[in-house]
Amino acid sequence: MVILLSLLLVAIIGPILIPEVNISSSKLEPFHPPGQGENKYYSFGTDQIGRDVLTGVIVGTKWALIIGFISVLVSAFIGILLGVLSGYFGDKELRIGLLPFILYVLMLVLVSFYMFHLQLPIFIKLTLFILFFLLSFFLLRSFSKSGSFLICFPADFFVSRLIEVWRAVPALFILLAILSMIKLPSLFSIGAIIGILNWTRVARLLRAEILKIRNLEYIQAAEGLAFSHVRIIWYHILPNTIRPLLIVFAFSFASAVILEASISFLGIGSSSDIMTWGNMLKEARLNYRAWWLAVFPGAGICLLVLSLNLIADSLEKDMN
Amino acid sequence: MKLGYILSRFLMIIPTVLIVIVVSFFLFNISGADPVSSALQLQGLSENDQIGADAYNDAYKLEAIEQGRHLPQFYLSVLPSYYPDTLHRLLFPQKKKFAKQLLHKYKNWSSVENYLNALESMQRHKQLPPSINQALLILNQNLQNTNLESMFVSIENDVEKMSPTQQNDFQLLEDRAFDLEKNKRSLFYPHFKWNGNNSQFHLWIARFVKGDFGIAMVDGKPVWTKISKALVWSFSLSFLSIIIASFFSILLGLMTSYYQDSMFDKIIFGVLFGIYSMPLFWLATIMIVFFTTDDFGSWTNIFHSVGLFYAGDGNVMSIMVRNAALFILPIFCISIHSLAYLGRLVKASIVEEKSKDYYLTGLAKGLSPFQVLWKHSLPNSLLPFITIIIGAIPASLGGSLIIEVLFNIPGMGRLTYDSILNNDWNVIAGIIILISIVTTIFYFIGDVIYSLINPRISFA
Repeated sequence: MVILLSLLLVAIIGPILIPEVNISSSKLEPFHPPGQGENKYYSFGTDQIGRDVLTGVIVGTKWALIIGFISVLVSAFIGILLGVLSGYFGDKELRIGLLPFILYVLMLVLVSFYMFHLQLPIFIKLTLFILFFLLSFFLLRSFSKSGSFLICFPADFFVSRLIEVWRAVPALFILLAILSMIKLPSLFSIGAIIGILNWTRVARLLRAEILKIRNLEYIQAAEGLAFSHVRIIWYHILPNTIRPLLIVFAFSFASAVILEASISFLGIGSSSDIMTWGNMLKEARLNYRAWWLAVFPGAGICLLVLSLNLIADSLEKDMN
Repeated sequence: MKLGYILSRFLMIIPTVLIVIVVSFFLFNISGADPVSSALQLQGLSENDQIGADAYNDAYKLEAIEQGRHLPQFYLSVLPSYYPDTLHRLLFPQKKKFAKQLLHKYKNWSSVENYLNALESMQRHKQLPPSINQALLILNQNLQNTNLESMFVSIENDVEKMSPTQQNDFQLLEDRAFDLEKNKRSLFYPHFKWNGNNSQFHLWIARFVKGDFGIAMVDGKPVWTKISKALVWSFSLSFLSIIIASFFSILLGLMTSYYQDSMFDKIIFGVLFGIYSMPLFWLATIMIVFFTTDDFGSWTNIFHSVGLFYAGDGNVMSIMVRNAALFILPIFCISIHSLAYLGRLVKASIVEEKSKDYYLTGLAKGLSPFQVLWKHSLPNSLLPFITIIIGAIPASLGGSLIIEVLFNIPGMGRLTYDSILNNDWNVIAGIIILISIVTTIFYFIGDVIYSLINPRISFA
């Protein structure tokens, strides 16, 4: 495992050490096999417009890591939220006052409506929406004191149904469909969309793990001491679930990298200017005689995914 | 209790399918594909034809009304208050988009409507001076950063050169453009409106409930015919690869659980793990390049070049039988990729079952290890395996997109890929709905089967 962690570190440090990424168009030498070249000694060869494959591989490492990281972040955010909601609260625990609940639903509808129709840049809208969402949790908790008319919200039921519906739709198709609508999406949006499609893995695992931990004695003791729900979740339950979560994150990271490479390979993905590994493999497919175009990016993907899978594997063996 | 569980799982299918239909309708509308113009193209009319703009517009209107595009979109519309009641009656997509842009900016439908009418009447004049034409072009955009006053001042000379009717219309246009800015409002509230059955979504869902998936936008063939033809290819490919993969993975799991932790075990799983880490398309490309072309020596040129070699008529099964050699490489790629995961799963389950008490009891009774394995522990250890296989069948209906595109097999993956490239949303929506329905039904069947064969689980 140490070997592979160091491989991963190399993959991270590589992009930082990019010497120069200037593509000066005066010295283009397209299609040189590795080792030949008049002006520079192209160690990995050049591609169709003369870009150095070594630089491409290094830049591709950076983009692959960014995409994997963003997708894991997004899927973790949504998945942890919903997984904890369904696993911790179950079907009977979430008691909210009736009036705050109705007000909350109305506010949610209104805020969604105004976010849709106000003419603001989309990042401001998204952050405002997420802030409202998180703030509303605090307000709900503070308004639901005992004594008011409490209703029982079956969080587990709704979240499980949502997960089932989400898994029924084939992810690859929806991804392709969405990407074909946004012509030439930026890599951040690709990462975000992959994360949004993949959150069910995290939520399912978290729900299963929390169900195991939920009725242990020290959690009951904490409840007996009247700790708030947030405190129990944050300090007692979540630290126990980090191990399986890390495994799922490693696998999600690997699958996000491969998914992005497949999408770019098929041509429906980021524009060809950005040198991700998938883009380089796409060019390699058309010119298959230039074996250096296919081998080096593919080896890069292979190494990254291999290291991630081995890390996840050893974590799993460690756990059992 | 079991019956209640089965019933509740069965009842979950319907809401899932409904939600998927809603999602596909939503995607269909957002995508910006225009079914009216593609239907007209199938009939042979296109925008640049000889028939002229007016005749094309009339044909467009007829076709749009026939397809129901003049109806509102959903049962319940939640619109801002500045939207007019009849915005959905604007049939031409560019006009509608422009009207919406102006509405969002100025939030006053009456002034926007006046402005659009003046613009339209101005554009009907022929032979305007070029600077006027340019001004009209600018006015036809979103008026985002234009300085209206300076623009109108700069073309004052050319205004004199126009005929009196044209001058009147242009004056009207100028007035209305300034009115827009003057009457700009900013506050709005949501406005709810119930549309009932008079909506596009109702037509959409009525169509799917009847089973009519519509006509492909690209070539006019019914979507169901296309899908069913492609389905046979995808299903046979995936079925064969599932059978081969499960056979070899069970074999592998048995062998490695016997020789546990030996060099054989480590080597095999190391190699398989390495292959698992390779992206599927890279493996497939290398296979194609290596085995089907002459580049790396003609001794490796075992297979034909990819694609249907013996094309021709006959139904799909006969084409498949004739082209059977095509299947070897794709099945190999898919199977090897899943072999790592499945093999490890089987091995882990068998090892776990071996440490249980009944295994020892069986050996003590006098059975050979093989007999105990075969009769008692194998059925138990294959439970998670069966779950995965049952989950893999609906996934196979979608077809492995990459394999089919690379190996040029006309299956569901290729159909999806081609439709996405051609922006053919009828086919895409049909495929998504079909796959979701089949996936839900198969998950249900898988759950029922699992609850039947595993009496240990409780029905939560």
